[in-house]
Amino acid sequence: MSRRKPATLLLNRSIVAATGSRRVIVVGQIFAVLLTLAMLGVLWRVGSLQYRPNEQIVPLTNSQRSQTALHGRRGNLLDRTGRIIATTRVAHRLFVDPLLIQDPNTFSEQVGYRLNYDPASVERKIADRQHTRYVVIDQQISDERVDLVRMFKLAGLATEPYLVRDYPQGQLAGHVIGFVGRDGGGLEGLELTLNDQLPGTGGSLRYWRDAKRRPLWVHQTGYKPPTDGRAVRLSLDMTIQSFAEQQLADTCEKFAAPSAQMIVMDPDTGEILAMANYPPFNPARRGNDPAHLRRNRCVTDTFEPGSTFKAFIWAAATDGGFAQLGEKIDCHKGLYVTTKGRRLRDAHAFDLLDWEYVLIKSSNIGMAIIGQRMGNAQLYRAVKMFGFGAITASRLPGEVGGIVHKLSKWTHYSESSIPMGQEVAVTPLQLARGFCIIANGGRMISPTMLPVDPNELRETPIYERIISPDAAYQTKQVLRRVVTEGTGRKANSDQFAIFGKTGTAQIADRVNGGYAEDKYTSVFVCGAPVDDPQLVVAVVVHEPDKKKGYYGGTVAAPAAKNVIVQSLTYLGVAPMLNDDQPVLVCR
Amino acid sequence: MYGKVLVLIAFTTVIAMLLLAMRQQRVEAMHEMVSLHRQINSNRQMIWEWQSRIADTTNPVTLRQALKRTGLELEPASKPKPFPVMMVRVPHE
Repeated sequence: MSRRKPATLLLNRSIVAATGSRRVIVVGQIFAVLLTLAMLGVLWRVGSLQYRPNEQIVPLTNSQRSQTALHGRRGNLLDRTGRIIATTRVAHRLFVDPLLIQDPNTFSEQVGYRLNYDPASVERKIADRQHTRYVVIDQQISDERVDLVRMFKLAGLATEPYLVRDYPQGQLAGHVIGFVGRDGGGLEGLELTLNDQLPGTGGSLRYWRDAKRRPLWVHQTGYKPPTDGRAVRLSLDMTIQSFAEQQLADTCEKFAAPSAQMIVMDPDTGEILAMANYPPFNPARRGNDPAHLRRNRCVTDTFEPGSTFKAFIWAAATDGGFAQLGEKIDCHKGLYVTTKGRRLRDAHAFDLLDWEYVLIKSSNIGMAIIGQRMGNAQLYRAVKMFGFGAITASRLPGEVGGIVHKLSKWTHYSESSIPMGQEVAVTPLQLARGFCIIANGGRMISPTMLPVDPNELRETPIYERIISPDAAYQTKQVLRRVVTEGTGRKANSDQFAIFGKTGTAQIADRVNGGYAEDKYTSVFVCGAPVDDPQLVVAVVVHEPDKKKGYYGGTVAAPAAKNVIVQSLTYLGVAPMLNDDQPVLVCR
Repeated sequence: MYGKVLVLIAFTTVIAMLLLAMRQQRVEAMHEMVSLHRQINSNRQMIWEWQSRIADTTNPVTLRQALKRTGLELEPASKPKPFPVMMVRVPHE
């Protein structure tokens, strides 16, 4: 028989069950409320830490942030073939923080032993600046040493990356390229001229790291990308530049000349393919070179052009109808007294010379007679229209415009001086540019250090006409005979038809006035080939040793010939047929 | 009742775990991004270094010296312009 539970027991149990469930519910609710309050508290704390951290905590969080500077590289300078002339890379500087050195007694030995430095030198550098926290041991260390420093982790020793400007071409075109300062900004040459295009913009990377300095994450505004500077391609050709610099060095050594300049230009576009100075200058190793060694004398220095100036006056006189081809000019057997009483002499006693031979034989008297016929006004116009007396458009720093006195200051002497290349002073670049005008058929061009893109040339280009194409052609043909028959025979080549003009100018005596004795400037300016000139070369050699030679035809002409022949061969220009070669090619 | 609370707690726990996992992935992605940025920067600098070294060893003076040592001769890269087809030249007498 089952025992029935008494009703009171059942009632008690149901009462107990009902009471127990209610308790659980209440406890559960209290627990839920407490849990919610706790979560809300945590949420509030997270929010306050994120947006309003305690002042004591901020320095601690900052110490866990790192910032890396990302360098914006200065743009490269390239030659016309893409060769790098100037570039920027990252170098490392080795420095010491004396306050962090743990064992000062052995520190120098450790550095010396591990990194191959003289310990005494390291010790001395630290002792000299031990009150500072930055002692430079080596301005530029190799990558291998950087790796060693990181590997050994010597307390107090560290490397610092910084940007350094390299000039891989060495001294080639050093004067033209210039150099940068410590802040990376251009100070001279094209580095200065192109300072608005070359510089880069640095960036930064800010990130949080853990206690072991491992990067954790980047803040959303923590990355600022760097921008590299724009690379600029120049008109220079380093191969032709090397021809020019080598030839200048050889010429100056041979004739014991202290300085010389050479310019190679394209007469059609005005592009400067080479601009060389002697003595050379290496921007990578400039040290404390004085300013006069760094100067680009092709544009900063002037000289009296001497007989080379006759080419321009001859062209202007022919174009203006002041003299005709075949006209006989009386050169008075080498001694001529002008209408104003000035006495002029020629190197040789010429009698009657054809107008062409006045230039071929470089007769001062013949040119003076035509100069008198032209008069000062026309001479002044001729000088100015060839661009003398004003700076060119090269944009090279320090360029001067040369010396051409105002017409009002010209005298009767000027009529005979100017045609001989006296009373004016020109820069080598002006001389080369003037010759380009003759070479390209008589139109003005602007020298440029930047390459000319043929696609950018307008379909109907507009040029300033200086002399007529006929006058330019006639001048070129006569200048060709200067090289084959006249004073420029040492520039004659059997490979290319070179046309040019020699000059031997006296140097002004700035102390006593007049001209210095036994001091000359040897000049030669030429172009080739005569039928379709591709290059113009101007060479100026200052104060060669008179005993070894000083005439332009002796000193400067061979140098120009060597460079123009090498350059045309390098450019793939066909050499001319030799007259000795037989004969007939026809179909 | 107990069951519902337990389910709620379990559900909340799962959500919390998922959030933590996502956060961890984000941190790892950021870490990788920083590492990549630093590697990109390092590679840029290495390229600059190599450009400088290549330019150093290929400048005309260095090349000419190297060619001189080997005895090789240079020829123009571009061919000269061809001569005219119809041409008559008579030697001077």
